[in-house]
Amino acid sequence: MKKFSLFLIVVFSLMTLLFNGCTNSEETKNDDSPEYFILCEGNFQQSNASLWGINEDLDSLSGPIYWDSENPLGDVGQSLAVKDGRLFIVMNNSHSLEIMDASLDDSLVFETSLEFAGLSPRYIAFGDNNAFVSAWGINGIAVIDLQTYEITDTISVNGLPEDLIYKDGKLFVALNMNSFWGAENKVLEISLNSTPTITGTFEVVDGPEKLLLDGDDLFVTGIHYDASWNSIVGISKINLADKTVVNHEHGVGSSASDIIKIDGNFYQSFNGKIFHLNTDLTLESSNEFGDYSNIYSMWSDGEYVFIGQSDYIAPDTVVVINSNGEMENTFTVGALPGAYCKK
Amino acid sequence: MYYITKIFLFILLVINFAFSLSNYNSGKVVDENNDGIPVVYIHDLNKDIWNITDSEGNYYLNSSFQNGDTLEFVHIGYHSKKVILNDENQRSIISLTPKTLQLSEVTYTKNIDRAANNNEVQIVKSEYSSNSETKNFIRKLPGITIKSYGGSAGISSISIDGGTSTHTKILVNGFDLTNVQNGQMDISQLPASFIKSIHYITYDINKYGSGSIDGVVDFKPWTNSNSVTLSYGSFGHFSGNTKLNFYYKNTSADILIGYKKDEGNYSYSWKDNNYERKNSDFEQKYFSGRVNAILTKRVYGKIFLLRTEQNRGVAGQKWSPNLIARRKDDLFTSAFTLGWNSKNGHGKFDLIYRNSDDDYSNPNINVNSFFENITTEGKLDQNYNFTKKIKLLGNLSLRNEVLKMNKINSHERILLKNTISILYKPMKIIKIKPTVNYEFSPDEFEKVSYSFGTTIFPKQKILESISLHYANLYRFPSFNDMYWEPGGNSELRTEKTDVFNCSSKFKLSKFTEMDINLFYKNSNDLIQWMPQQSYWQPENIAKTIRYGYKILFDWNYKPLNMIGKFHYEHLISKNRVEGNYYNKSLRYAPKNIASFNIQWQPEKAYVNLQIDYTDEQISLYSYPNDVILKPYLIINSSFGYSLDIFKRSIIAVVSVENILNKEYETIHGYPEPSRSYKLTLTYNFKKRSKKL
Repeated sequence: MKKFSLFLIVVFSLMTLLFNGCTNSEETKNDDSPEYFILCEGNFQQSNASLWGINEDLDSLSGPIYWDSENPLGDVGQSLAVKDGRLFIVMNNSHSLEIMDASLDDSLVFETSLEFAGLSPRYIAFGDNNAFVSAWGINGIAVIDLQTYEITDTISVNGLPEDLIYKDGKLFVALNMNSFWGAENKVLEISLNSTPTITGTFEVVDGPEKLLLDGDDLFVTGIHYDASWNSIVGISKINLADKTVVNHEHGVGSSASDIIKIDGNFYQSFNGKIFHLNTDLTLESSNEFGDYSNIYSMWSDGEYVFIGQSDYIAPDTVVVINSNGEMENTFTVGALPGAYCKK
Repeated sequence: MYYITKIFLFILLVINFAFSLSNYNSGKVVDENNDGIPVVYIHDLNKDIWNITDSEGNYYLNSSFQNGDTLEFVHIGYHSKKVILNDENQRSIISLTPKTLQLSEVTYTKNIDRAANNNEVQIVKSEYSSNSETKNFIRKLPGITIKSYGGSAGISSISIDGGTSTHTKILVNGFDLTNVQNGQMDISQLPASFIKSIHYITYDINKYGSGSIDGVVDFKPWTNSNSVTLSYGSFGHFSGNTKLNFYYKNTSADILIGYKKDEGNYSYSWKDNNYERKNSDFEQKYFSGRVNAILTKRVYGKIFLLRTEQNRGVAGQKWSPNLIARRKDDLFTSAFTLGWNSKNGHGKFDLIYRNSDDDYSNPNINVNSFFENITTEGKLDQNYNFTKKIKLLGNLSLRNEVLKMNKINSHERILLKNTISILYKPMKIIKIKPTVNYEFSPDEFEKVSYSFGTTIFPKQKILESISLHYANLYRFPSFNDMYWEPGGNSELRTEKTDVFNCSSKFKLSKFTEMDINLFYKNSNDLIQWMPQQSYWQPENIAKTIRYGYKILFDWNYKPLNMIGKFHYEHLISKNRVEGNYYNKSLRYAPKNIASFNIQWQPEKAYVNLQIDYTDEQISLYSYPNDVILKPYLIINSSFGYSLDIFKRSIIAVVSVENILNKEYETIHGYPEPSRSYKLTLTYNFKKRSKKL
């Protein structure tokens, strides 16, 4: 009887384990689990940045994720990116890098917060073992070891670096302003050998901000201000193969402009709307992509376009549209949706 | 440090032969309508020394005026009154009777903090608290919140009833010291030792013109005193000052010189980690002087000077500390007053000059800005008693405001203001006061405002008075609103607010008095900065409603020499701008504010306990939750003892601020200091003669 009882216990335990195991494997993919992440910048000096997630079917919004008003994410959520299952969130005015484990299928787990007092980090790019963070506070690039999460090096660029892209051992950096906070017009090519060296300088439109790499073509959006504080929007295309640069200024617009590529076409947001970008870098005013206003940000994974609309006061809106320009869904999020990435 | 100490010792030795001081009698001289009478000559017939009341009729007497002395209160047009100074009439109200009326023997005594006028609340520092921080002291006033960028170095402003700081008019010694650039006054520029009392005028404030929508706060300077004070404390605090008082015939002069240094560097937390708040040091040097002279029986003159220099770190927000940004700012004001009395009234002419510089540098963002504000004002006041029942109050001022920006651009405007009030008292139990105010700035603004108030004195045992008052008040846009680069909007209109007040005063017992104030404020065309294409620009779009009540209890138990005060404000505020936040509470408008203070002065000792509570506040409308400032309860206490040495007195005070060591903020992201201790020693040059 005793042995039989023991046998029953063992069998029951095994069945339980097996049952649970099956259940777990079936539940690994929650339909609502975030596939896309939206970082809302929040209002300057208010520490109300927020992180949101949208599922793969684009019909469910989750958030704010992990951080809330009692445990704030920080001040000015500038950018975010995923590398090897980890989500890196760059917090500009609270000077930190927030890292989350995004490798799990149905949850996002806070991993650590790297504090960089005074660094004013802006954007992040990844090499094989390092992250490169543009940092206004040091007029340079901070190199972070992805194993130890320590800053192992800094690369001086003598100005305020904005977006950056890593490609084949080289880092391309948009130099937004000079060290005196005046408009700059350069994209730097930095060779990341044992000693990082600036190996190329491209003169682009004033105030280069966002970068988009398409084969050998590096697109650069630019915004600078005239004496009356009007924002002048432009774009440049650098051919990395022959080192040629084409620049074009669109004129006065709002102070937010992004570039995307979808279905082989390039689009740029300008003055609150989205226009098709011609090969000569002019905007095709008759070819608006959708009919949206107050556009603060725009991003695409190649399949969908995410459009952040803002009046600078929460709540704001993110609209997701497909490559045909049809709206998939609209989501209400925190103030100033400004950055996006896919898991 | 050594240098400063030497200066104090030198001054101490040189002038030790002189003067009096340290113990104060204070009060107010009023007429038959309970209106303060300015420039009443208070003559100590025993000592042949004198003082005069200020423009509101308030007086403060130092310890040269001793118990047993006979004081004669003299003012033309009124019967003089003689009062023997004793413990009973400390902090008293002296009523003078007009010569046209039958003389009566009415003299009554009330707590000075319970002002004769219904619209006024006063708080007065005792000699033990003369060095207490202004931020703590001002919390004793009802409905007032301090907004500070943290610690001594943080720029600090005052808000009333959940309004903006630009809606509170700040006066210093009766003179408008508003910074024309931003429409505010940084009260951290006023040294703690400079302030003797604060008068908060809640309504009937049309005559103060633009920017007085929520009330007027007048910082009254120290009284004639001869002392040296040194103070040491936590976070590298050191301060010292000396006060001197001179008499010569009909002229008195007062001088205050001081220095303050705070290292700052207090601890705070952000996201579960502890940090030290660096670059929050504050250094202040200051000088103030006053001369009062009785020129003839009917004419007097006054001179007032104040200069403060500040050098401070700008520590930034707790999540974005700034280690190198600095601000150097200074404030200079001078005023000359010529006053006169006649049988039918009194008047005065003020000539005021104010100059302030603000030099801010932040190498992190390559900013180095310099602003200079200059204000020159001539002001004429005249009161005229037509009959026993009708009094005319007139005010005319011409003001020139200049802002120089970065030594390149400058902006200037002229403001002409004229206010006329009629005080009509048809019966003994009722007082009616309509006021019309006209303010005009060529090519910019023009505003007529008016108010109407009535006060009834029912002569009941408990209810002393009840007042009803209406006013439409306003604020002209500041220079920043109009000319800031980028975004300044020169097309802005005047902000407007309708204010209703109902105020009543009760005497609950021999020792206990109570005030209740109900208010309703409807504001339109408020200026709000909105995002444009590439910058922010102010627009007249905001609308608000605020209403609520304030309750004040004053308890003055003379047998134990104990004073207790309690005030509470309940505020309902609503944003009336259409949109997601319609009808939400206003930003930085706490629903509940309360303060409790008790002071006990047994013989030569002094015990003070102050408890302040401020409810949670919305610092920003956000989604899905607003950004909230947590409520805070702050407890401060101090203990003092007065020691007589060679007939001079030394007062030692140990104070503890933020006893509970609460981490709190009055502006989101700017933590206030943790618990701190301070030892203050005050040496009074002349012998003490009576107990407090």
